[in-house]
This record gives sequence, C-alpha cells and structure tokens, in this order.
Amino acid sequence: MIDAAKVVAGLQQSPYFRGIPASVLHGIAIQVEERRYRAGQTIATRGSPPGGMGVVAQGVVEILRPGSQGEAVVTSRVGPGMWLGPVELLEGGPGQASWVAAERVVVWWLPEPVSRRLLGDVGQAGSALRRGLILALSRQLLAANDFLRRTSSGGGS
Amino acid sequence: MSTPTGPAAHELRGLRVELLQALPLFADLPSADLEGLLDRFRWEQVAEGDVLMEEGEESGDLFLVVQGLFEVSVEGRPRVKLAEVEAGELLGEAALFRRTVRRSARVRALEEGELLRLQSLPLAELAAQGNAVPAAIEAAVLRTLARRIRISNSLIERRLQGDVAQHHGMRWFGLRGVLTP
Repeated sequence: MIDAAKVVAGLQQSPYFRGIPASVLHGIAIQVEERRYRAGQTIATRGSPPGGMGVVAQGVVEILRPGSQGEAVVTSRVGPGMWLGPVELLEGGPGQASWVAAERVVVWWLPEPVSRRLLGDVGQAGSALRRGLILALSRQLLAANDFLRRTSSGGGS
Repeated sequence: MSTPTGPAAHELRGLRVELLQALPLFADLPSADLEGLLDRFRWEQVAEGDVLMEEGEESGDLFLVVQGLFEVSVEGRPRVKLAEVEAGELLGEAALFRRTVRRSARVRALEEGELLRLQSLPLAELAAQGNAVPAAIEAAVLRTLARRIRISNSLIERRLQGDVAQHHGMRWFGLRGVLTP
C-alpha cells in the first residue's frame, strides 16, 4: 500500500507541483504505484510503449539513444521530481529512447489507464497534473529548440 | 474593419460559436461555455505572411487557432522549421503560466486565419466558475507540446548522427536535459 502522505510531500518538492495544495496532490498520490529499480536495470526499452508515465522519486535515470554507429549513447539524465514518459503517453506509439537506472531508482508510476483518467479529470487534481506537465514539457521544448538553434548550419546571428 | 452591431453582431457571434464547436477540443462542450470564452477574449484575423510572434520577444498572450495554418520556426541558416500548426491547436502556450514569457520561436501565418487571443488569468477565472473550456485548452496544449517535442527530438537525433557529429566530433555539449524521453 502506497504511503500517500510521503508521495504528496515528494511531489511538492517537484518544480512542476510547487504551490499545489496537499489536498489536491492527494488525489494523484493515492493512484500512484511505487516501482523500484536497481542500478543498471532497464525501465523502458526504445521501440516499446512505456505503458504510463511517472515521476522519479529517488535516483537518476539515464536516457539512451542509438549513436552514429548504433551504440547506446546517454543523451540526458532524469532526476528526482522529473517526469518520465508523458510524451509517449500523449503521442502514443513506441518510446523514442530507452530508460536505464543509473543507480537505485524509485519511480512513482501512473499506469496508462490511470494517467488518462487523471488527464481527463476536470477537477483540481486533473488541472494540477495537466498544468504541471505543461510546465515540464514547455521547458523541455525550449531546451530542444535552443539546441537546434545552436547547432544549425552556420550558427545563429 | 468596423465591428458589427445588432443582429449582425448576434449572427457573427453564433457563427463563431459554431466555428469553436467544430474544433475537436471543444466538440463535447456546451455552447454556454464557448460563449463565455467569446465574452472574455478577443477574436483576431490575420493575413498570409503576418508574423504572430517573433523569437525572443516578450508577451503574455497565447492563441487558439480557429482557422488557418501557421508555421513555427527558429533562427538558423537556413531557418529551422519546427512545425505547422492548424485549427484547434494553441500557440504561445508557455503564457498559460506567466504574465509574460520570452517567445521560443517565430510564428508566421501561411494563409489567412482567425484566432482567439487568450490570457492566463481570465482563463483561471473561467475554470473557477466551472467552465470546462480551460481544462480542454490545457489538454490541447499538452497534446501540442508532446507532438512538437517528438518532432524536435527527431530533428536533434538526425542532427547528432549527421552534421553535429561531424562538426563537433560527437561531443554531446549542452545536451543534458534536452533529449528527454
């Protein structure tokens, strides 16, 4: 049985849930599954749907993609308070990357049916989840566009 | 352009409610909720070639595309086209949270279009009144962001395996936190 109070306290530390009342986060916390991974364990494999989304509660997850020779290359690291999987969930289809635990990792996981139900909820818990995800994805897109701009042929002006 | 009054204004308002109802994101919403949206926000028309937002500028508005097609691009040589945005999608969604935001991309109309210019505070007030439009807009913003991230990640992957790898000897500079799942 998940300790909802612990999850609420953890979510309040995430930049994407800061300022959200505990009573609202409780509506999300009671639906979370706590999943544990040892260092080196694969959490999701590129090409397969992750089947939900989650917040990293503890540890670091490495995001791997194939390099120019087909080798696995770490392209980013996701730490506590950060999301795993919302793009795959929202877009559908296979995952774009593999996720591997770099150390002992705990993820508060929302399986796909639960995620979809919460995302469609017009109440405060649904709104908190949607707005937190919008913030997370906006930052991610900004960083991606910055990278594209910096690496365009000839550079920017 | 003059603003219609009387029966003409009533007819125009009915037409705009119908246009909003035709958007998938509002398909299941009552007309009263959509009329609440029209009461609070400005309806705008743009011509082909109009620049709706410029990279780097500060603004507090976001836009719901009701009709038309818009190109999203970022600086580069040549400019990097990131996406085309059509009816039912949002532009400038970062403004949903802040009074002003720095635009991350240029948005240009590829054809004539119609938009609703939105702001976050009145949207929050609508939500507090039980209007379902803000939740539908949040869901649409999420879908839009997810689609754009997937496109950007694909572009980055191609670039890393191609020109960046050649130009920078496979240094994964500045990439931390860029390519997330």
